[in-house]
Amino acid sequence: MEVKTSSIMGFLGPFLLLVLAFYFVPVILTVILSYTSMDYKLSWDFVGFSNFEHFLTQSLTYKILLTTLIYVALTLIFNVGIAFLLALMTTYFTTHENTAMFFRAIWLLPRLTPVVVYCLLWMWIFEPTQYGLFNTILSLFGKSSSIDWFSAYPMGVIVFANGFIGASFGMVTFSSAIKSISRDYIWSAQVDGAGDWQIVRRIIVPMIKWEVMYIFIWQTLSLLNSYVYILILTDGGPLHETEVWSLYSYHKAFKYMEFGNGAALSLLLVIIGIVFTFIGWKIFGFRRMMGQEVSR
Amino acid sequence: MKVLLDNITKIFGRIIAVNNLNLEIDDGKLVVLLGPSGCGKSTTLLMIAGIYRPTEGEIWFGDKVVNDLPPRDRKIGLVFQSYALYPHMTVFENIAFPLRLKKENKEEINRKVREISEFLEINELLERKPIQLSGGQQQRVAVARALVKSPDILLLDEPLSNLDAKLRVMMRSELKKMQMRLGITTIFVTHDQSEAMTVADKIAVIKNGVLQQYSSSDELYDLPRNIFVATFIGSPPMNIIEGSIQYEGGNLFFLNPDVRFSLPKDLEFVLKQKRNTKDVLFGVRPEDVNISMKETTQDSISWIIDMVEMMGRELLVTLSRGKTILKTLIDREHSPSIGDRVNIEFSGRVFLFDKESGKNLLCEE
Repeated sequence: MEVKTSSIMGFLGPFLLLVLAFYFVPVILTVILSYTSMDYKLSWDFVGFSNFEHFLTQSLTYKILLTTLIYVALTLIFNVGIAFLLALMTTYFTTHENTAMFFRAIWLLPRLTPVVVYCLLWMWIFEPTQYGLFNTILSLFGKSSSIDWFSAYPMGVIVFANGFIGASFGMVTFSSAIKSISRDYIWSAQVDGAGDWQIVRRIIVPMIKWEVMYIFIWQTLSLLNSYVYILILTDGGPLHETEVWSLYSYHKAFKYMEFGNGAALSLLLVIIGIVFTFIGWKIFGFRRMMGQEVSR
Repeated sequence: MKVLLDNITKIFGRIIAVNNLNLEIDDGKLVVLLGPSGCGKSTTLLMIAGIYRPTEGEIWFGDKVVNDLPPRDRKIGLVFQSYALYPHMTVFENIAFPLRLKKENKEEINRKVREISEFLEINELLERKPIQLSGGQQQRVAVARALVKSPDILLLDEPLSNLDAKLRVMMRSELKKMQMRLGITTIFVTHDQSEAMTVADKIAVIKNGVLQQYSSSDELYDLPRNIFVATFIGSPPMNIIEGSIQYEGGNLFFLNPDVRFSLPKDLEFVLKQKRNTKDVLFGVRPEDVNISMKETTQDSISWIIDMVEMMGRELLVTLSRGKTILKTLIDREHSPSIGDRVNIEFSGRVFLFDKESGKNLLCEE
């Protein structure tokens, strides 16, 4: 059927304009901005590559890169690993669907809570005095002195706070993937002699590989970009202990009003993100998976 | 291995899937569980496999109650209608899977997989993924995976239903041949009565979770216990006509407003003990109805041909007289045409069923 260009534009146009205005233009602006030394005076002074040179020669940049990698890796354990365990517990190991649903719903609740409220909750959990939840629990086991979690384990604090809420997304995705595996496969494996662990490892995991890859890459990218929880909980401190790349970029731009520098950091983060995506594809053998999909 | 189901009942919520089922399956025999979909036959199979636990009753393998044994300890092989071949494994890995779980050594696994795949003629396919196989090949692989650990009992859940008609006929005789060669006790679930008749040593007909009849194919065809079995077995299905029986001048007749058949003498004796039965269902198989053009003394030419369907070797002819309909299978040489008036004759056995209970009146209780 012949479709007129005008009608295509009629239907797509409004949406394309929105995409252009709110996605495309900001990206272009960021790229241009990263070649300027714009500060609170908001003047476009082009300085070539000097912003990038500045960061690439600073040792702090590499410390922040390392912090970011540690933060992303540790939180991924929650967002993918714990998420998978939760999904397994509420599907394969729970035959009673209502119980499973109730549990999943509870775990999902923080998603409905405003970020600030959720962070306040964790501040109370990690409260350095004896009134904090963790310290109270420790005192029950006979430990008299309270631990100042924020200065002793700042990375632990932000990983926990992020991981607990982050795991719910993977949990829901993995649960639906596991539930969509035909019962015949599970039954067949049982008859073939597989125990629970073998069914999980040999049947369920290979069959939800697509979902695992999707969550892994999606979470990697979103963790690289996430700083809100960290901003509220530790603001990157103590010193630069929990200063991840995106937070660093935010600080540069909106705390020190170095917009040019902030933009340059954002641009570098995009490159890091792309590198990570490729690594993810490699780990999961994306090409091979695509091949399987085509012949299916 | 002999299998015994002793008063098996399975209840899901409020639904009674299997109701007080008793079945004895002799060692080395092939028994078919036959019934319409949702009758409880697959549930029964899954209970034998150990995937479902019976709500009541005991399942015996040989002289052991296996109710509490998990599937992997029951020494069974199971083939699903979907075959359930693991898509991420090659054919070899699929077949080797049960052996690997038993932690057998590599050479032993290799030897057994080669052996069974030669037996089932799939040794050329071992490196492929299930997705690259035809339906028939997938089915063989599923059978190979079920047999590779030399089970005591082979369970087949609608193993042929996903194949096209031609392949199905071929595979069912191959399955039967294979089963006889191995002499393995086999339980085969199907909804297809002709499939059941061709492969089974014995058939258990099940309806709504209740066993209707358990006997050989011959007996099922010749002496159905009730109207359900009578109409379920045989294709095209048996003709059933409502009416009553009456004695007139020492002869026995079946009557309704449209027809009047005199019944054979040997029925009389059986029916004598059931005098009070009056309302009955008369049954005759289409292949036992002959048509002729010549007049008989008893009945004038009185049936009209409504429809003629070509069935290949034979013709399926639909006759009517008033509101009564009768189907008959006849040779093609007759070349009847729609609208012709013909007379009928019964060449084989006729059946009478109690209208209320549906029981075959000619069977002993």
